[in-house]
Amino acid sequence: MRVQSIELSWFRGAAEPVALELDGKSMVVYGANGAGKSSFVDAVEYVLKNGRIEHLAHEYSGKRQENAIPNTHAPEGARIGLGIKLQDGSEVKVAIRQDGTKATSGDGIEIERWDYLRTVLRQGEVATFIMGTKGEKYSALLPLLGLASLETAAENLRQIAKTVEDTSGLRAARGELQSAQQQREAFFGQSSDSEILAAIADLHHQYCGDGPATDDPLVRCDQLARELDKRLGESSADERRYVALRDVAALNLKDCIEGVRATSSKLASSVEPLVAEQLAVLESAGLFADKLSSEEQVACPACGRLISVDVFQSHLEEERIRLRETADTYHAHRTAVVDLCNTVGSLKGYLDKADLESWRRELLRTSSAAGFSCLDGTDPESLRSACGEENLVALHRDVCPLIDAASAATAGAPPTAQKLSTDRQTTLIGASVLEGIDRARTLERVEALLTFIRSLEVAVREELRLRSQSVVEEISVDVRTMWGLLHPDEPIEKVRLYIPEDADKAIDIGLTFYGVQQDSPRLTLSEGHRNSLGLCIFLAMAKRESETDRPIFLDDVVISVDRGHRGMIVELLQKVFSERQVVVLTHDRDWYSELRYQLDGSNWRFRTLQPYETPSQGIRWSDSGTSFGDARAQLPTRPDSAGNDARKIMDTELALVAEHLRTRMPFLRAERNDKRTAHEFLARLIGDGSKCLQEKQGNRYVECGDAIASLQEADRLLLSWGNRASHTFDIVRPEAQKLIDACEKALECFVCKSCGRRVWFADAAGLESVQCQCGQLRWRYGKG
Amino acid sequence: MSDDRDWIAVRVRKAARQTAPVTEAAALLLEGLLRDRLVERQLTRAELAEVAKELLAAMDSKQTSGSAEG
Repeated sequence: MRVQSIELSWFRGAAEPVALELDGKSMVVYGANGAGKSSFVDAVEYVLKNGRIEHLAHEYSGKRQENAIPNTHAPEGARIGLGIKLQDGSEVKVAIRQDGTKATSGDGIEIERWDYLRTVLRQGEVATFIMGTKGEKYSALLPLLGLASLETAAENLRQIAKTVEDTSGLRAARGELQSAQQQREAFFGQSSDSEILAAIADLHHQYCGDGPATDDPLVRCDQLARELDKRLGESSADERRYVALRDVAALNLKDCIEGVRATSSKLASSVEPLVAEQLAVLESAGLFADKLSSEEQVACPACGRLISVDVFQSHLEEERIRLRETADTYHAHRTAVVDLCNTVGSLKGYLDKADLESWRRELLRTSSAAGFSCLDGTDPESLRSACGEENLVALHRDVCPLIDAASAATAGAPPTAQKLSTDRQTTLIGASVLEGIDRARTLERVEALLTFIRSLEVAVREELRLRSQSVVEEISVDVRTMWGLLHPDEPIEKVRLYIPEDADKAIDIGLTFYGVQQDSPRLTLSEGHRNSLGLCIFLAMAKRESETDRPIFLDDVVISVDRGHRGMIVELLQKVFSERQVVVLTHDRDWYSELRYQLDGSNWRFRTLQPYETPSQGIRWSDSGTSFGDARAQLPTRPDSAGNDARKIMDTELALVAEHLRTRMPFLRAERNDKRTAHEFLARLIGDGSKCLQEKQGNRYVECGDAIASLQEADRLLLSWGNRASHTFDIVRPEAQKLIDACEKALECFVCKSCGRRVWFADAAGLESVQCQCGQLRWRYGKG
Repeated sequence: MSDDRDWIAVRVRKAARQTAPVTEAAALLLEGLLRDRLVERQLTRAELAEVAKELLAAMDSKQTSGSAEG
């Protein structure tokens, strides 16, 4: 879809409504610095970026860039805004209020979908792609790769795996399983699952032989526990006391305390520097981001080490592993604290039993008052959230002796009580083992799911890599073709985009510089070459981005490209973008003039902006910017205007020709010096041209008689019909037609029929003469 | 886009056979999600939690994808 027009009203440099009338054609706009060319590009960017213009982003421009977007001299109540009309008649209109808020209307939804990076290239952005990091290059190219859906899928899979891990409580469950395993080993030693199951089956047979039969081991444990509790209730007070003391003695409080201490110490050594590092990361991140694009080495914001940008990704991975280890330590600590709290809770429960009341009283008479007092003052839930060293010391010093005392008191117990206690513990710990087996199966399922999701993510990323490779190679072919057109026979070759082997989401540029392979153009290319390469990459991406005809805006992109290569850009636009709408804006008068000669007039329009005078006058078009094609278009209805346009073209173009050919003009006083007419230039060019303008025939140069005759004919018609067209408006269509043809033919005298270049394209024979590219046509100054 | 979805479906089935045993229900659920929401946009935190919950529930079903494939 082509752009029909862009209209501005008090937007940026514009004052009263001014329009860039493209009529769906390509256009070259010339304007001196500050004339307002870029205001039209700003309008495009404003629409494409939903009200943002990147080069205006500044602390003083305001939240909505309200201090930068409206014309500084917009009168009270002025209509500030823009409108972009497309060739299909659809339109986007934006009204901007003084506070920067905007109201968009119209049906031009199509344009809002265009990608700015593939539509507009400004002077300051030419080398942006090259100077960006590998990740930024990948991001810039991603929409072109057509892989956004796969990239989204890969990222979603990564996030799902993480959420599954968090939701399932995988880490905590692993910790609990580890505790259960320790308890199992302490009680059952190395007994296998089947030996434990057999032991429970024996006990079940022994105590519950008359009850309902079941094969479910957990149900057996449940039935057993109830039967054992029943028998315990029926036993003597001594026996019950003994069993309760065995329960107390079985608690491994000392190990729990040591477990918390060990993990606390490891956690402290991991977390303290981590907190400091995280603060440093925050402080360094801003500086780091600035340096990343301009330096080969950067200081890692996490550790401060100097590293190359290339290895930064792997360094980040190392940091991630370290953080994961710290997280594991944290979870181990949490598990140890949970174990301790559970043990303290169990101890409190056991000691509160009525069966132990006499033992407790006995103990209080001796020296264990501190133990009971400490235990009474310890709330397991509070301990879970804050378990400090002082808690551990108190538990170890005061409470552990209670367990030792209980253990000592179990000596010499009746055999029936010993058996009852042992069978009860076998049942309870056996049940815990069985639950652990079940939990382990659940964990296996979660881990299987995670492996599955992660393997999918890996597969999607690999596919992304393979497909990117193929698209990137296709773009590379275009870049190489364009580079070859701009830089034929230059020893900078094999320009290519490539995906580095060792990095994900990364793309870089390689080339061969005088036969030596280079991994980045930043290593060797001059600024001009870099910009030229940047232009090729932009055009290659723009070409790929849309098979449909979308416009491309090139705003002063040749500023650091030398004259010879600028000519090649014309060739590139004609060869590769003849089917696209291209809007070239330039402040280079020579290049503008060159483009007027070289670009196909049926596809291209040429407009000139007047120099900017005041914000109140705003952007103004010059009348002298029309082409012969525009003039011909007026023949049916306005032959006088068509003839007048032809005269104005000749006034402008002949001034350029005379300047390039160093034609000596008679001195005119003051401003008249700059207001010579076509006739004055033609008179001198005809006089000089008969001797200076020469074409090659065989091995020698001869005068161009036909060319001089064409110049004379144009001069004659300009004096008669051209003046009539301008002043009395009574020129008729056949006269205007003939005038236009004659003027066009006259200007073609200075263009070589063989190479298409103008006669002043290259210096030849020192300072004596200039010639076209192939040397077929020349102008000898000295003969004038 | 539809090519991508088909490709993803094939990958899900292949991964379900080749990696650790996931249930048929979980494999189908993920395949459905990858044909739909997961390729269209980045899920929100709440949506991720919901998907994770559904996947974990789907893993509780008995039949594994490998066994379903025979």
